[in-house]
Amino acid sequence: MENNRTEDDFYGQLIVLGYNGSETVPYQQNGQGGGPSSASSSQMISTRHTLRRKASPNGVIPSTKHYVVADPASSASMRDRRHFVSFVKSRTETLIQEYQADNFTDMFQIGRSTDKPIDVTVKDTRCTDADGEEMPADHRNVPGSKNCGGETSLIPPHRDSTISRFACRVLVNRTSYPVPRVFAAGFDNHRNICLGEKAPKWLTESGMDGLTTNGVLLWHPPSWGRLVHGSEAQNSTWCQWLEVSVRGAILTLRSSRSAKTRGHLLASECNVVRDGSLIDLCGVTLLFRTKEGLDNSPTTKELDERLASMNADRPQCPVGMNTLVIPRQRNAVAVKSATDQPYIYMTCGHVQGRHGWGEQPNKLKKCPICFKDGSIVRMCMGMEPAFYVGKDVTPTHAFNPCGHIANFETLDYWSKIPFPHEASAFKPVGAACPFCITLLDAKSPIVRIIFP
Amino acid sequence: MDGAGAGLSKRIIKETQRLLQEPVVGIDAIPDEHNARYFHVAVAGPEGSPFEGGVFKLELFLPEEYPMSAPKVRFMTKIYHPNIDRLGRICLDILKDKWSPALQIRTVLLSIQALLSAPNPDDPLDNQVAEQWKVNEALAVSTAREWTKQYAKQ
Repeated sequence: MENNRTEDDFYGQLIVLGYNGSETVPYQQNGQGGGPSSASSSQMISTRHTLRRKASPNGVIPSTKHYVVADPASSASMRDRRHFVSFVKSRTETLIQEYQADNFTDMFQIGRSTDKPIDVTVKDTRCTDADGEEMPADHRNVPGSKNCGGETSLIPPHRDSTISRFACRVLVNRTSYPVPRVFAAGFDNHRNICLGEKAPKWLTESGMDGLTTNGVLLWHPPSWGRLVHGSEAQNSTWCQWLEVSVRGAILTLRSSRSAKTRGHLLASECNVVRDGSLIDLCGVTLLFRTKEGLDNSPTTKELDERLASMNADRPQCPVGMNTLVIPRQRNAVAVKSATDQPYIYMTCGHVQGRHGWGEQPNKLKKCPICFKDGSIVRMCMGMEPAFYVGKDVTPTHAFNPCGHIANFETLDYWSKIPFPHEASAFKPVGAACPFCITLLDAKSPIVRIIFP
Repeated sequence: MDGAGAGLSKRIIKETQRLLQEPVVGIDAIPDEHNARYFHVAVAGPEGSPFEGGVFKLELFLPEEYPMSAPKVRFMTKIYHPNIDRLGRICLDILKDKWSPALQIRTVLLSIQALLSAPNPDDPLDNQVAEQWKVNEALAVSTAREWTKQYAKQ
């Protein structure tokens, strides 16, 4: 956590987008391969993961040993439980690339699995583009879906995940200047990565390389909170989504997320992640922050104090004349005392309580202050400090349409990062709120909020 | 929906408290002892207007739907004004189609006070008065002054 950042063994932190500062979220893993009767287990998974120097190095790198076998299950590598990547060329021909221990690196594996080889367990955090309250009633209060603050728990539960169980791995050298590098695919329980017949594969000078089915994408800003414009954008790959291979090569995007033809290799690019880098695992996106980056970010305590001071001003609904209370999480407070919940009129930004005036036939509401028609959305404080950009974190704007508030610099930055979303529709569709992964309105992604 | 019942009568209580604690200069609004939705109002004629020196009594009633619908306001004191008729009814957009629940008793009374300062004969309620105001404003103003002296004495 943030109070331990001064230690030398701190490599950085991975923060899962979409949880607005909740430290843990419930995770239900369906029984794997056991059919419908297999029990699904429920546990809590963390949304922030600190990468620290391990007690002993556990990184693995490709060895010089590689050979072709007919049946990888019976190969010597499998028997000896060595790390290897198998590139399936055909049903009768598989290339085995062995990996060997590397005493200079620590390895962190990320994926949907809760098995031991995975350091960072992630689950789907898909975009929900509707405010919970505006959803049909039968979608709300699903029995058993007790909400522990996870903002995205309204997602329909039965949808196949597109995240790999062993999605990617990060290797960090164990020096005083840790350099984290990302590679597609993680080693499974058998210390094996298997690239199937259909996965894009190619031969390089150093051996076979390949991509995973849904791919691992990277996005880097030139520095935290900064985006590139104009000629700078044309002459660099900053702020562009790129794909990383199993060996850590960087490529341009495929024609669709899981297309069978790879993008172009970008020889000058490397797979190092820096402060502000995003790692997309097709269904979940992680933000990497360095120690320095986090040291310059607000703390949760600061955000709490900022929120407390805004609420201490006792903003009032101009209609009900009741005091409004800005919540830290969207669902928790709204259920308890709905009359305290501030709403933002998204066309004009006026903040009010919920009242019955101004209903329009098309689900819009007329603002009683300026008479403009617009949707109304519950306001909620952006509580994840690692997403904040800039020094003054006083919230002045809200994301449209989810209603998360933060300072302008933060919203401006995130509203300009296009997100790759689905496995099927691949093209970066638009920006999303980092606090809840709601896709932002293309025309006006952010709204200035006006308290009465 | 939510907040329609308890929240909004709470609003009336809050508005009343504020009107009593921080009264507007030149405006008195006292709730009736027996009916908290009925206010006895007295508005001083604004300086520089033909109504200067007079105190005009009004009644203000908050209907059941308030603040979702506008308060009902009527002049009790006779007044010579193009936007106020013989029965004391007031032609003011915020009391009709321009009503918004973001407005309050206070803002309504301020608007009425402003209407006394700036009569609008182009949007009349009393056609005769309005006509007079257009044809011979000096005479209209002097009539208004007369009426003020006669009917709106302190």
